[in-house]
Amino acid sequence: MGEALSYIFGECVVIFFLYKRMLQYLRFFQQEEYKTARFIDWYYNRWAFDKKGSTIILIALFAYVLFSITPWIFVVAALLLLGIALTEEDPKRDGKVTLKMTQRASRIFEVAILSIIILSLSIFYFLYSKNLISFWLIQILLIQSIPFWLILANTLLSPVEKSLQNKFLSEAAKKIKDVNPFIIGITGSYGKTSTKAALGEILNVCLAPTFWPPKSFNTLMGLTKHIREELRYGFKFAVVEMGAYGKGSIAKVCKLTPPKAAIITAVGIMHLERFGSEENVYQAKSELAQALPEDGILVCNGDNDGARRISKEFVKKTTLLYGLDSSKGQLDCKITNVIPTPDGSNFEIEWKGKVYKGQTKLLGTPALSNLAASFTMACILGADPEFVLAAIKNIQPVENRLSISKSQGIVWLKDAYNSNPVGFAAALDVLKEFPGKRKILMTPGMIELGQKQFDENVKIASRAASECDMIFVVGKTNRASFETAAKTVKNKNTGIHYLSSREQAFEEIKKISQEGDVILIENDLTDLYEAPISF
Amino acid sequence: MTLKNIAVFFGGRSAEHEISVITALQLIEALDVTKFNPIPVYIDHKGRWYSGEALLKREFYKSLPESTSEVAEVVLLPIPRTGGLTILKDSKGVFANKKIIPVDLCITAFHGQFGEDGCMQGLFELADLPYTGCAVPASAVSMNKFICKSAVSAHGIPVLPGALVQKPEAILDMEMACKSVLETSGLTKFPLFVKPCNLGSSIGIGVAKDRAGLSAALANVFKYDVAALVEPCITNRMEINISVLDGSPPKASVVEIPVASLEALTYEDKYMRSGGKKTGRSSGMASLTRKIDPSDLDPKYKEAVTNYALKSFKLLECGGVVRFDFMVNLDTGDLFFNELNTIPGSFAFYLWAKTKPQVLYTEILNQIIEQAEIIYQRRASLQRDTGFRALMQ
Repeated sequence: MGEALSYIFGECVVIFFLYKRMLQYLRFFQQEEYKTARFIDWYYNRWAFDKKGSTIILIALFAYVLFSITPWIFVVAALLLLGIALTEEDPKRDGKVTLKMTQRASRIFEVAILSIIILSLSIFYFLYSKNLISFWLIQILLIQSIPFWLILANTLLSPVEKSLQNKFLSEAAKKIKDVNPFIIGITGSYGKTSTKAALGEILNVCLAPTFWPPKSFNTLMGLTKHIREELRYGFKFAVVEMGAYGKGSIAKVCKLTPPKAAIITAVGIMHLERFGSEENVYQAKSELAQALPEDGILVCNGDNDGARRISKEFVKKTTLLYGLDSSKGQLDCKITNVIPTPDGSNFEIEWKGKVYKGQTKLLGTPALSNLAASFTMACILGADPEFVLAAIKNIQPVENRLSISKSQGIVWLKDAYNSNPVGFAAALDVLKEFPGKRKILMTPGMIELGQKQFDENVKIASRAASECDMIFVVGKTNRASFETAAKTVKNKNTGIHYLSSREQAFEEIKKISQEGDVILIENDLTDLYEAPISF
Repeated sequence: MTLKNIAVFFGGRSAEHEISVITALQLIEALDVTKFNPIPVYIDHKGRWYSGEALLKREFYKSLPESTSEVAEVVLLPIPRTGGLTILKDSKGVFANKKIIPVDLCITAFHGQFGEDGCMQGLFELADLPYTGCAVPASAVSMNKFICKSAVSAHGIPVLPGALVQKPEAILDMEMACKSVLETSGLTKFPLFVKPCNLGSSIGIGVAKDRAGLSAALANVFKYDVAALVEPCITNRMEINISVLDGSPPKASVVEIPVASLEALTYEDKYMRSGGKKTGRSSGMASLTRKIDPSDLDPKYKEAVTNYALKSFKLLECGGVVRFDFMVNLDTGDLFFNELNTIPGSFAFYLWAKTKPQVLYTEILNQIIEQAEIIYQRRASLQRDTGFRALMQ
């Protein structure tokens, strides 16, 4: 009886366990964009192999073999496995980056789970009531092999994926050709999503119906999906964010959506690891300017060296520079006299020899720089500057992009995405100037800065340590930078706390925060780097 | 006696989509089942039409779009005497493989665009079906706040000064557009109230406190509408609403004073608040905090509001049950016509429940259905083919 149950019940539970656990791995496979090498890197870096399940089975096996305990021990082990499977977090709901069951994710999951279940059932069939020890040893192997099945399923499905992608691509290309909107491409190391949203909204209200994909969809396939589903006849403009994921990726997007105008927000050192060198980042971003026709419109951030260089190297019929600081050279559109207010910022904008007064609910110089980009593009496309400024006044801050929220006398400045040296510094500017008693910073630091990672983090950490009353450093990735900074800065009172997870940091902050505090959450790390996952 | 098939139309491509669903479900519950067989017809956000029993449950709307598989997709063809709704797709066979769902009369329970503004009414005219409520002209006029104001004001009913700003003007030159607003008599001082000219709900409304605020409020309106109406913002104000029910002669209900937030009712006040509580299911306009038939209201306002409402009802050729909204400037004591709702939330039944003699919801529906039939017959007796013969002779 006990033996039969330890086979049958064990088999059922293990299948359920495999199912739940595979979804967990799939979430990270998806975050690594289904790239085998990146997924394997993640797996090794995080030691993401199963520990809990395998340990339980191993203990049961030892007890069974060494102490000749009854086979019921495996039923107990199976119950424990069931407990783990039932209490693990839901990857579709929990965590900062959740699993999105897209069609592709579903296909990979179905193939992988079916394969592993068939294998598991065959093993059960051959070993049932023959060799309990081998049966359970093999269960450990099955559990450990889950990531492999995902990779295998993805590899097997890649021809299917490829042909589907091609079909979608050609459908999207045809739609672009039929609707024929005036396409404005936006790229840059940071600021492109906010600029896209602002420009889309401005053109839509100030000029003509405008298509702009929501959120930060900026990959070729993400764009393809939105074009197929949302682009309709009547759209006169399309604002397309183009993310650079390596050399040639922007050129590919430009083929699908050939731009007539472009905005380069910045060429920075973000994602340096992915590109190898700063020159490579520059080359990748300049693909957008290269894709413009000679009579196109090129609008570049004059405050950024790389963007300025692109404007000189790829001169178009209309080439314009915008910015907040003319120390690097002439600007066609310049924002000056920025005054932060509790509701946002007041500013002045110089355009074609006239000075206009403006207001915005947004905070920080990067946000204003993005608004200058949108203003320049909208005006050169024929919008009335006064109308554009009216539309700018209505633009709502995007949640988590240096957005303000107030509760119980405490101000939270949330800046959770794509923290980079410029954005981080600007957020600190806002924190410094924002009226309040204690200034508190919570951050895991910046990532993906390649060889500059340590130094850049030390730089920003030193500044933060001298300006903030308290700092909560999340995770281990940049802990050393903050420790170094703490030693060099002689600010007697800054308390630096090191915490292992975002949740813990939030709990600590909740405990110590009091009325009058201004708390900046500066954090761009995905679950991959920060959440303590344990399998 | 055979039951009359009454198609109740609701939902639609409007910002007030959900409140229309609430109005319709309330209405169907109140419909006299000894006389009528209600057929719910739901138009979803994208403009597709559905019919079936499942529409009567609130759960249906929570599990959209999946739940559409439980009902049939239908349409009303703009062709006279098709007999009713044409079934396009009925995969679950809820109408037992019929091709047509018979309809004798239509009730419009829409709020806002594409339902209350004459579009649906036009379709019923083309399909030659009797329908409740206002006909095309009154529906269309009341939806355009500027035209509606101009029409009643031409007949001596007081309205606030107003300026119309059309989007193309603002696109050309926002500064000029603002300047011409500020040059309009009665609009030279801030604060100003800016609202979409053609939307029924409170979406897009804003208060401009200065010149920059005015252009921003206009730009905000142009997200939702092609024209904006600018009026003085009466900060110390009281709203008075009254309903008129068609009949011979039309009758006016008691008045109500909605308890508004400081600067006009926002969408949330109108529809999300349920008597002050945020929880629980919404009952739309019927649940808004309000004072009905306030005894402390100066009788001169009651009298003026009743007279203006009955006069406007006649001159705009309204039908069915409507609600007129007035406003009193509490600083000056002046009364103004504000707007006309040709399909008021909850059909304003809560006002008729307090009116003497009382008219219950079921009776309101009986009366507007009866009026719809009278109007239909009156029009059916018109000679419509005169003048057609010149070509064929």
